Amino acid sequence: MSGPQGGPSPTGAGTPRDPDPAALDVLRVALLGNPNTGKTTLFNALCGLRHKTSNFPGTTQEARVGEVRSASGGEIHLIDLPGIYSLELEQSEADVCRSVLAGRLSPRGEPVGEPDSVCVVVDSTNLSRNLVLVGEVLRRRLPTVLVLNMIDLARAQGRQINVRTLEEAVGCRVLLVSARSGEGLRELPDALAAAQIPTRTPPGEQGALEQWADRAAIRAMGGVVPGETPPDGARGTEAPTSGSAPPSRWTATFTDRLDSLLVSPWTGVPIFGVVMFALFYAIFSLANFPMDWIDAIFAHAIGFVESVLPEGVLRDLLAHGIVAGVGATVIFVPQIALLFFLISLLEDTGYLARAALLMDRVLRPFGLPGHAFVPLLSSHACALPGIMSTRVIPDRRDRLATILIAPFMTCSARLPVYVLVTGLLFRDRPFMAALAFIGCYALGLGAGLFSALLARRTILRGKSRPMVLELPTYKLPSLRTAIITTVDRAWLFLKNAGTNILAICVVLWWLGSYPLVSPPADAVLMTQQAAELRAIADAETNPGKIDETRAQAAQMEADAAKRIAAHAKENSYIGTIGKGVQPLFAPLGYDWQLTIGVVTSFAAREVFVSTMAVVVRAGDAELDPADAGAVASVKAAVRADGVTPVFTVATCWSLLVYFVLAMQCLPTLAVTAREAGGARWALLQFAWMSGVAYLAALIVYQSLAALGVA
Amino acid sequence: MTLDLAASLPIGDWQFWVATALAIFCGWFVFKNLFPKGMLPFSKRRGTRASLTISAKPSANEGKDRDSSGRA
Amino acid sequence: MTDAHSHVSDASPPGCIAAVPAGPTRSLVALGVGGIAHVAAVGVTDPADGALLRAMGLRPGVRVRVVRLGEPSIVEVLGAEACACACSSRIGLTRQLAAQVMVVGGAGSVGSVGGEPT
Repeated sequence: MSGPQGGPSPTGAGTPRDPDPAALDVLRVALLGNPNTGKTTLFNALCGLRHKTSNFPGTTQEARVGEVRSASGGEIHLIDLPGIYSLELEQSEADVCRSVLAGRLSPRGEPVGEPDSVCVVVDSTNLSRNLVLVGEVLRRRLPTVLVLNMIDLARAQGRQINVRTLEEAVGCRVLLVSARSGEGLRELPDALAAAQIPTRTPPGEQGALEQWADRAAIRAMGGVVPGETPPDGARGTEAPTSGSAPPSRWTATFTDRLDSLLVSPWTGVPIFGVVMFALFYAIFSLANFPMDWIDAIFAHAIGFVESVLPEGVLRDLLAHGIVAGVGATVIFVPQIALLFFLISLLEDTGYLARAALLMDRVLRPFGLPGHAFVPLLSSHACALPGIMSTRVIPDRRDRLATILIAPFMTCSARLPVYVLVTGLLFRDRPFMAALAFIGCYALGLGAGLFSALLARRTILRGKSRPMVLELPTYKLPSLRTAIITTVDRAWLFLKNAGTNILAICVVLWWLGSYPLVSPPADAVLMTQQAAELRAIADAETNPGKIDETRAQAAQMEADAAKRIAAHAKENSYIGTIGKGVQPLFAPLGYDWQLTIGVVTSFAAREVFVSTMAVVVRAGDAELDPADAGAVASVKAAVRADGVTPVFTVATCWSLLVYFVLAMQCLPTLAVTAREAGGARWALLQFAWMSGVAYLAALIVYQSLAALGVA
Repeated sequence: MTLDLAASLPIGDWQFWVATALAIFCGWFVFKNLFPKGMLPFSKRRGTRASLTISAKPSANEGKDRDSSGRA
Repeated sequence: MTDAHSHVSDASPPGCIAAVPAGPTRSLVALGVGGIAHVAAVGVTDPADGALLRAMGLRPGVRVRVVRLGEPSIVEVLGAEACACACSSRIGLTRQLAAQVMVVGGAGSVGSVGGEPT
């Protein structure tokens, strides 16, 4: 049970476990409790950033394992289990808890076996309900410690809890803590190390267990159980027979009013709209600063690599494959981090639960539960963490539907394409561009909802469970929880998406660099002419003429270099693939250059602009000085005839619609496969979204072309 | 569109082989992530313990009213 | 379990903490906003839903207060009668589920929190 020294130790009721003085063994403690008991806050307060997030093998439940040290120096691994109301419920969270307590399941990386002790976190303001779960845990006969959290809140409400009485009722150690203020936390690690098997075994039958819980709660509050003689006055606090004072009427009324406001459609929806608007506005405006820095840093990094390393394949790989690949992921971290930070704050206040309840009504007609609202919201930053947070959805079919449609939500990676195309369409009309932007979001959302409806009527048929949700008390959000959650999620994103996108960028780099081809004739000619111009400049005497000629030569050399690069790309493997596939995309209005961009971004949307920048042959069109170099050259690209721009109006709309709806993200497909439990779901998602995107773009392009739009 | 006359891979360049090996590894990495290992059911995990013996721990479901909890 | 409009056939055994008073039952919806009553039975069609509601605190004998009726509904669970700790938690649920929660007794309009006679 406790590490390498192995073997179950013979124990019976009331036998204390030997405390671990040697500190060689790692103590494994399972952390359990009802939802909304501040279990996460407690975990964060004890472990801070010293934790790892993985999952329980064979499930999609997230597993967090944190490290704490007891006063004697012993190491404790705290295993955060999902919040559950009862161990006996038929849900995957309860299943995981049962399996962990029985020793059948452990987080990835932890040895399999019963935990050394169990810590049950209880909400001090809601004792009798919480004690039911406590009773179920006590029956497991594992060394147990009870932690009464939110004790400051209970005190503020006038509740007095008698620790001794409660300890006697439950037969194990009880601690009063407040994870928020830190009260009582110092003694907790040692208490966990010294945990003992409970001396009481509560009844097993549900009704009897509930009675037991009520009795224990009454006694702990200093009240008198009906039909029992009061305990002697010597024990515990002096409390009148009516027990502690009920919570203030004012709080209840205020909460009632706020609940009604937030949950009723007439007031709730506008409030919700305002909150969402503020959320997205904050993300897009605030995230720009770090995003610009990151852009600059990586541009410098590439320049640095090119200047330091000798010319060659590996330098090219490092600069344009690896550094570019890392940059392509890191640039999205600010938006993702900010979104999760703000969502965590909102959730802590208690607002999100009311919003989910409100949204249930809106989402139900599409076959989605109210719980889907937060994952779909998160997917607007990146579908990857969004899909992972679908774990909160209780019903399996609801969950699958949400996972399948999550990538329809416009994620950060699509934005550079939106900006590029709307900039082309509405060059000096920012208002129209903004409208088009919002239209893209709406299109994605609409397509997602429609697809969910379709899925629930066909492959995921069946009535879903009606929504039931506990509404936590309103409180001020905890900054620490938000920060830790943000770091967690950002790190998960980097690990999951980052590694995949980096790998994709390396592969794309290779496919775009080989085979090597000799430079095209016109570029050779240009280089020769440039050399001639330089010779002329050298022989020139007039200084003005010298500079002018040298400038001309330099311009020619730059053009030649661009031409050589574009030619090389066109004849590389990726170019050949693009040209081969182009007939498929011709009806959508894409030429071979755009097809290469679209095909490469099948793997990751992030690479579209950079791929296009290398591939395109720039025309003579006026460049918008506001555009950065890569974007400017892409916008000015021309087709094979040398005259028609790649981005005609009809093509722009077609491309925009395509990017809104297409599944272009291998990392997301991988996560879908994992969370939905099979590659077939990822395949379905890919096929459906690609089909919808293709059809929509086709219709848009052909309609516009038929209407005579260029 | 010009016709290129000499398309080739620089097989003599050692750097090319390093880069190619890396690219192949990356390709495999991405591919394998698309097909996660099938979810193993709990029973296949090692460490299935024999309970209910000397340590006298009662079964988790003993005495529970199964009807109301709806547990299979 | 009792059916929609009948009396509770027998009150819970004496000495039982969460005593369900005898009397006619009605649905939570009929109780009205602000009403406080004892839960008699939770007759939901899906046993898994019933188990969840029970585990969340909505079980026979506890007092509940209706905060909001409609879609969605909100009820406040006040704990068992004799449970002096006046524990409370709020549950949001669909109107359909709220209609399946049967209660006994109770003042039909806003009553005081602690003044419920046994």
